[in-house]
Amino acid sequence: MVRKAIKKLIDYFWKIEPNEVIDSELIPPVPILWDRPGIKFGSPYDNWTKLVVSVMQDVTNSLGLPTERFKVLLKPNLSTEHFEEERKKVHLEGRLEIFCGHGKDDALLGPFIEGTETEHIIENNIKHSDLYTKEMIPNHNSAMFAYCCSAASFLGQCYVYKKGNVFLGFNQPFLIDIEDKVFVERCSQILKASLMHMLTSDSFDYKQKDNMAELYEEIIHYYQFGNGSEDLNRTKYVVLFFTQYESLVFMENKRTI
Amino acid sequence: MSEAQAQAQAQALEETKILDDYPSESLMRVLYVEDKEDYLKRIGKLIRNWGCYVDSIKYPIDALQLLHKNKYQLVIFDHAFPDGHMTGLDFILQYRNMIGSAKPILLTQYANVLRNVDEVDKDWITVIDKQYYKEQLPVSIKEVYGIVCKKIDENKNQLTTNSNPNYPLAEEELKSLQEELIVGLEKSENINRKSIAYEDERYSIADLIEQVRKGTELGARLVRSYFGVKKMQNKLEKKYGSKSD
Repeated sequence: MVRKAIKKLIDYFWKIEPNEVIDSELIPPVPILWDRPGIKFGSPYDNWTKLVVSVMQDVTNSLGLPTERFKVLLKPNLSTEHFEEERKKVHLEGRLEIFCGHGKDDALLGPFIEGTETEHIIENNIKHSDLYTKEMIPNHNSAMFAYCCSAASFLGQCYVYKKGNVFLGFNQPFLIDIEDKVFVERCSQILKASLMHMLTSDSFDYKQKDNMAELYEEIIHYYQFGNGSEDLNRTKYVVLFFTQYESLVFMENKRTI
Repeated sequence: MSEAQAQAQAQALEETKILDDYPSESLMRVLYVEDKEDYLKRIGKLIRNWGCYVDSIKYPIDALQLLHKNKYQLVIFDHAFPDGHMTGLDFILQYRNMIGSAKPILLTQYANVLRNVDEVDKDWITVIDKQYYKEQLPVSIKEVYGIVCKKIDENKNQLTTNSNPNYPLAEEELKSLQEELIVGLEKSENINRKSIAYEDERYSIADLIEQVRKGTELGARLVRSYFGVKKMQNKLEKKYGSKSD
């Protein structure tokens, strides 16, 4: 029954029109039966991060998070120290870590913190600091979803180097049209539905990737053959979404011998 | 001359015979991962002499960094690493997830066991027996050499504009895709607004069209993405039905 409710919720997100305002009162709260230990973290400090953090916040509210075992850390000026402090409170075994924001090959990025050694400029002269690097990877049986550019290409590989760890993320940079309301809304729909699926499933495995890939396929189909094919921006959307779709990878450390 | 010295000399002779057949020109880049230093040096040197650029690395964790930085046409792995390190097979199974990755060769003493493991994708991984007895090693090396030669030929035939082996495109097809993509993008709204973020730059649709025309790295990626959508067409039509349905 709960499964059906979740499916309805996902369907609801998907059907809303891009310009429609989401009324949070319309979304029924879904209890998490399977309360996995984990942490959801991100920091709103530019257009993209504000968008993804607001999506994470929506999902958090709908699912009745945080709980004792699942922490939510969505704060401006989030530093590595603060993150580590909060993460210590999360149970080590079977931990799920969810991050949305900016990323590069070997780190997940957060806002620039004065006095830190790392400094990256991604666009519009906005500075970023390393928030999560390979030294912080949990030792075993943990899962991570990173909704950001490139992190799967090296950080993800390091993540699954540890026994029993799994990683879902993107292994290349992808294109984002942050000022295009329709594109941004579609991106948040995909992210919302994926997070819902992740947080309410009883395991974190390849099904999460399949589910997310399916959402991308649907949106590409919508612009390729569906009603969206009348849209002037059709080709643009198809290419923008496909750069995300093609770089989505799921990796796991599964010892065979 | 002791028996060991004689063996070493015979081995060196055997290697020289192989060296005589080197392909003269090749830009192929090879990654060789092996924890035993004598193999690492000797086999690394051999492959280098075949005209390839070889990065010889001792442990998988360092190989990860290199795989991330460089593009390799061939990756040769050992299977058994010291305790605390991932096995070659584990590493390869993860490496398979990386887009545009080269087909690996697993050079191992446990070839017979590994060939029967379900996870080993027979079309993708080549498992070669690394003989324990050194005098038989050239047999394995010859097998690797055969694969390297084949790979060099493939490289020569590959279009330079198409670096991703997942998307082999003929020149004509590439041009028509480029045109199609440009026409599609030109129809978009606000083509001069610099709103598209990619790595550390911002682009407008007009900039993207320019990138496609010039065939830059980003341009080539856009064309490949567009081609990817085309490839998805059958799958999507099967799943959802075509527009006319």
